[in-house]
Amino acid sequence: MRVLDEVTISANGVLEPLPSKGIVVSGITKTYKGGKVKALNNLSLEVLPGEALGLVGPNGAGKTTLLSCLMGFLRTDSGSILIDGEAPDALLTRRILGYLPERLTFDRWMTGRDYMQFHHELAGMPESTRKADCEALLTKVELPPSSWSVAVKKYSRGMLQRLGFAQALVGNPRYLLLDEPASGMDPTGVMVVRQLLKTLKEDGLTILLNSHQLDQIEKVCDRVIFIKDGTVSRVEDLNEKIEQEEHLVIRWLASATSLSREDFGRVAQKECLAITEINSDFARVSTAGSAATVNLIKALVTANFPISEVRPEDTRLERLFINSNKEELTA
Amino acid sequence: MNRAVCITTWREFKANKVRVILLTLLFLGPIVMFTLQRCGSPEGLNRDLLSHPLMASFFTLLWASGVIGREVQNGTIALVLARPITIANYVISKWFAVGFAASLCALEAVFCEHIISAVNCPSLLWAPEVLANGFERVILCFGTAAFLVFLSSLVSGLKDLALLAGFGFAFALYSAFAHTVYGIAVGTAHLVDSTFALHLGRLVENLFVAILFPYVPFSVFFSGNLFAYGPVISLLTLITCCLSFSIWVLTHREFSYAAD
Repeated sequence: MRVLDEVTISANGVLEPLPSKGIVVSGITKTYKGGKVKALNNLSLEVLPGEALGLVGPNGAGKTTLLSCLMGFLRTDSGSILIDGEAPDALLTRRILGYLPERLTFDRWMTGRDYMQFHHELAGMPESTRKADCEALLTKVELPPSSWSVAVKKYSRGMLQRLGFAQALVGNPRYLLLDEPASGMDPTGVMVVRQLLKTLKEDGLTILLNSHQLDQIEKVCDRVIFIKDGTVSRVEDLNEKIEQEEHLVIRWLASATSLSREDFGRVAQKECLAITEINSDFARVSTAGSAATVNLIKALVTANFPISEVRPEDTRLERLFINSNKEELTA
Repeated sequence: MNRAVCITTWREFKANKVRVILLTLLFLGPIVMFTLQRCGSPEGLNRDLLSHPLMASFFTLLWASGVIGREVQNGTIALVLARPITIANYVISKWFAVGFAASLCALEAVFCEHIISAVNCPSLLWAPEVLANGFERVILCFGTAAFLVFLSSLVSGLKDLALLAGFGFAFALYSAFAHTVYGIAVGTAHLVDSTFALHLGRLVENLFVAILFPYVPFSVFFSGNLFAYGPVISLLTLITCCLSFSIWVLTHREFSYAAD
């Protein structure tokens, strides 16, 4: 098998892209202000090919610094970064990286279409497909066609975010580094981004997602890395089922039953760790895990409670984040 | 050279109304001035009145100020350099875009001046002076562009203008006191070699001139004298050094808002 730039020629003569090697970050340290501020402290992580990895952490934890180092905008003081086996600032790496910064910087005098075509040309994509490619990407992020010929300076924050996202997808990147992709977007925009991320992941892109929207990370990512003070404090595999305390809100139709909240307390007592709040038609409870939640619902139904809604009060990631903060405070 | 970077540089200039107005004034200024001069002086009718090639420096200044610095300030440079384009390619593209556009403006201006001359005095239509003037302007534009691109790569925004002003001020200061310095050097010949001091002084002065006014007379190219090629060599050195330093500076710079 021969290797030619980014493709291989297989035994039957078919061109195939080289398999991805993922992102490997080994013990990087990055300081600012002559070493006074340590943004990254011996941080190591690995992003597997085709994986969506979420970055979670408080403000100033070093997430944006990490993304900037991965893009080659910042030089690390020590440690190494390999993206598909290449350095971040190598031209080969830049061909396969798509980047959306949190702080969107545009040539504001350009129109949306001009901006896309500019980046399409910079990415070394063929001129013959330029118009079609750019329009396809703008459609993909659901930017209205009427705005394509409008100067970027007239765009709203949400539109800028969509344009930035489309820009990140120019050149069919293998790796996508996203810094708050849904920041400033309306609910429709947030859903578009979420759906887009899922589609891109299904297409085999490797995604590194930095977001404060934990539900978004939970719905898209395979793994989550908690960053605190410039180092990895915790790694969670979101595909792995774990039994952990669940907080639920349960509602029932009070008008359709003669059962009182005392009856609810009696029925729920066996399966609940705690009943934090109870009213005539709703209750907030905690269970030991999903098995206990199932048993609780069964018990309530058997007792003829006309249950209208059972929903988790917080997501798994939110609980992990809260717990991790609690642990740190206790420590 | 990257076509996209060049075209964007030109289009960005076009989108800036203040610059376009300044460019128009710079273009019309000499034309109006020389037309009025002709009206006031009948002798002017028999001469090809063209503005000095150094006028081209102003066109270059208008095109080149903040050419890289503004991108650094706005943060747009990061997304450009996130693409498969080397910093060397980026700098050379910026230099070419500025040099080419300024040359075009300067040539257009000299052409208009020449047409006015030719209308007043048709015998001047084929005067070779305009060709020499135009050629000198192009050389000057690319030389000045290299220095201004270098200044722009050092700072953000339009601070390169302040650097240029500082450099010009230093030159003016040096010129004002050069004779005093020479006088002291000659007067203290017993302490230092006065010839050496004089040569050093001239060297510094020439260096200032070569950087601020990289003017190469057209006649130099046809003189047939090797020694006369000095200005050409100094111009090429200036372009090479300025672009190399720009590339070095940008390579060692970090483009991220993470530190903010």
